[in-house]
Amino acid sequence: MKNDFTEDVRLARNGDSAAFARLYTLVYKDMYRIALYSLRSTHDACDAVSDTVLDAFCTIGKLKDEKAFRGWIMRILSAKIKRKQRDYFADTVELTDDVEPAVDFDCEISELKHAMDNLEPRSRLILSLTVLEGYSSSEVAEIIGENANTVRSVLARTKKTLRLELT
Amino acid sequence: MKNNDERAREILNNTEIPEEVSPKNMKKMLDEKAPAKKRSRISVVGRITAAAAACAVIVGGTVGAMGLAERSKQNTKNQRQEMIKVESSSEASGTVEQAKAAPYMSGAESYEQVYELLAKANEQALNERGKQFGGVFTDGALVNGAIEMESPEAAMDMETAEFDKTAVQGADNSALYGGMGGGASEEPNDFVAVPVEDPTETEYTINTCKPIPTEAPTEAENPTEAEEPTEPAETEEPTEEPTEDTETEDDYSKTHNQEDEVLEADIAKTDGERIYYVCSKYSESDECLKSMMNVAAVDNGSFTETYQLDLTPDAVPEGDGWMTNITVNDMYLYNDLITVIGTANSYRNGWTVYGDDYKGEDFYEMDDMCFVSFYTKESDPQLVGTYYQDGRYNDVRIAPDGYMYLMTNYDTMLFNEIGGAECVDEYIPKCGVSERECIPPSDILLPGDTLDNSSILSYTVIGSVDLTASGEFSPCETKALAGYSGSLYSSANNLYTTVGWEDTDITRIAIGGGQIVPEASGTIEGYVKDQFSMSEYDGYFRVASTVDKWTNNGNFVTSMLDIDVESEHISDNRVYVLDMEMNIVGSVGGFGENETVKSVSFNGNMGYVVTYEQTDPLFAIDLSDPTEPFITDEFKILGYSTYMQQWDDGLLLGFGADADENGVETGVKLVMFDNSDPYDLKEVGLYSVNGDAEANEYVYSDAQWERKALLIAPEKNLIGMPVVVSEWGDEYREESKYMFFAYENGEFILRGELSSETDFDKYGEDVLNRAVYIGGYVYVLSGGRFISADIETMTQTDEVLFN
Repeated sequence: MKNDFTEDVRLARNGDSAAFARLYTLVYKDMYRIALYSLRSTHDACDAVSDTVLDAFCTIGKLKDEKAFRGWIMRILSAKIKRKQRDYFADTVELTDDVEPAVDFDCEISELKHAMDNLEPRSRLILSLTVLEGYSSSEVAEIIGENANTVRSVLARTKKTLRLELT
Repeated sequence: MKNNDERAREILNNTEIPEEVSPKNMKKMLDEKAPAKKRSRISVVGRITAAAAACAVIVGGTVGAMGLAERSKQNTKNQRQEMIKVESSSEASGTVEQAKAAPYMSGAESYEQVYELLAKANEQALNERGKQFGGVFTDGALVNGAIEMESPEAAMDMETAEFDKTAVQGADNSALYGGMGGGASEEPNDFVAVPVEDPTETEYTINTCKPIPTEAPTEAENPTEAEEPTEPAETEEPTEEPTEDTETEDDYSKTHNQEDEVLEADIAKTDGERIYYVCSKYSESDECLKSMMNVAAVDNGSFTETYQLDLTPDAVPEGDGWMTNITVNDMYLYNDLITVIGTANSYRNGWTVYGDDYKGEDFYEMDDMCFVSFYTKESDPQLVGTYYQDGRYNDVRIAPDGYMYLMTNYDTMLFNEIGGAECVDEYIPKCGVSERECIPPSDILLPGDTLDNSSILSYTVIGSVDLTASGEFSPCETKALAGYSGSLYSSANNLYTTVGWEDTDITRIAIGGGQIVPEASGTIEGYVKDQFSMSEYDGYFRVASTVDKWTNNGNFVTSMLDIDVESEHISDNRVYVLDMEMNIVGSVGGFGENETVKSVSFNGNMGYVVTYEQTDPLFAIDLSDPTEPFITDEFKILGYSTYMQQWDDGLLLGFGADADENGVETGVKLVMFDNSDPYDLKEVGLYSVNGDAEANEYVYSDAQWERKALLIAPEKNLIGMPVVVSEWGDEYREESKYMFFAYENGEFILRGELSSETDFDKYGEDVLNRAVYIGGYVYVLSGGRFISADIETMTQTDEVLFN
């Protein structure tokens, strides 16, 4: 572990885009995966991620705790995703599932994948934050700005549907 | 068989990441779009500044109409009063500070002086950045309160143009709200889509000045002289000896202090009768994280009484719509008080302020402060009071004379977000018992007449609290070192703060009787890892550092692709000896090339440094001649120590990571070095706990990053270390155990271990991470349970759960 992580936050706050990009390397894969799974469109996912990056870079001055970087950028990402999801509802956009699995899954996996694909948008965001980032429901609640109770019940439902072990 | 959690993770991870979102392309995007976006934000601030300027005109009138005496007594919570406060405190403070001023670091004359220094530093930072972006930021206008909206670059894409347009419209609205007290607008852009109930609560005003809940400035002017209520207590003091570490006969373990008399805090403490443990845990019933103190009274290996104290309500400062999370970091048992130290992080954003339907521009605000809650040390602890100090908790000590020194790191927002010199509480740290007050200008120490180029002002805030009277506390003095933020080492009479990466500035601050007096500073090359890298001995200050030189400095692509490659940078290690004026009098370097300092132990005239790349070289350094330190020996084993502590004469105990020949970390280890002959270091005992990688078994220990998790008690021939074994096999399994050893005849003998299955869902709450001994029993502790065992047989005698 390098310990110049917080140093990069400091540099980024002073407008160093290279430092910000270094921080971004730590989180971008998960960010993209959460966005993709939540939005089901590679185009929208890329948009959400780059909107997040731009906003985050421009407001990183307000991030006081360097160590909170990850949670903070996830919070911005969640906001972007929620906004796009709201647009989906508003415009009743026909969702085109353009995500192709990169490898062949075995039977059990494809069953799970099918179940995961059929989750509603909010569950998707909550599930991906939980699975990929390992956040607890209260942490997810804080990140997506929703009631902890709501998150817990959504997660409980999802868990049951997918037969997951996580809380 | 994998469970569905694993599969779900696999499915989510099984996606190609498009080139479009690669760090390289994002960097490019930022360089193209960020200047324009930031400009739009600058405009936003411009609006606010315009409002403030409008306000300033009114203030001018008000001040004229008010008598001077009246001014200082005003205590209403509005911006105008705040501005008056700034003015009068600056008038009074200049003279007070002159006498105290040290040649190299003197108190500010006024808040405006601090603000102007930051303005200058910001301007320079922006110019630098402007060069980097190939343009020049001109936001100097901000300082004067004018609105700068002209974009110097004509070539803008559509999106950028939109940003600026929005900003222009917003500016008008804001001026309207700020100057005239509000009004709705029908502009069809994002800004006005905000559900406006009270115009002062709209997002426009979020970043403007918050009124400071302080008394008139004259009262807060000199807390040192104003608050000396401890005199009577001090005269009684000899009869009331502080209760920690004074009686050498105590048969119970105490937190190991780096310097004998300088007390360090921890999450667990015992007084021989009760065991106290503070932690943050999830409350099922209240659906939130709570900070708790778990207490158990013990009697010969049995728990006779337990209780839990919810620390949260006593620690949360006044609300005003912020969402606050409390984390408890440390505690003391001292002079009949239970002292609990933690951090209160508050945040708010569009949803917390306006509710779920908020559709306006995203914003995020954070406010961090450190709290110290004091409780009576009884079976039913009562809150005595809570002291607040702005910033994030960094470290704390109680000096031998009974004064506590609390250090926090405080950063302002970006200069552009502050909103003007009159928004004092946006750039001056606050502290206080019931209400926080801005630190008076004279106690804001400036490093000279310039700050480093930066758009953010960082402070190290040091507050002292008088704990000399039994069961009482009384804040004494607070100093904020501007442009400064780093880690802490303390001897009995001096605090040393370090800041820097390539070069580290070290400041010596004399302490005593609650006074905080910076006396000297100096600079060394490289960065300082932690408190154990520093030591004051016999009138000299010794410090170990690692110099990191980046071979790809400035080359973004290489630095990014190889972010985790150690060989990317060249490291070199140093040990410096400085005199009390912080001048370097001697140094030794060039050891552990391409390795970094992992742990240091200074012991009298010797220093021991572990550096690491693939193997664990331990260097012994003779410091008896401060001007000519030299390396006496180097000893290599696999892995590295993260912590070292003298075990006995001639024996140095190391704890750290075990690794194979390729430098792959495999587990944890204890190692004993024979340092009786500094010219001939030897390994005299090794015990390692390694996971079976083929069985997907991994081993780690909390002590790798928190040395206080170890129990090192030579007086009982007892060494304890926590270990977590996790297994990612068919199903995830995690076991937390605490292992005890004796050291006999050149080897570590396992005396026994106490273990607890952990509930993964509780996120570490169950992990055993502390141990204490009392008499003939050991007690192993986690946030969820205490376990007791006989110290000889290590058989469990009792257990108690905390929910």
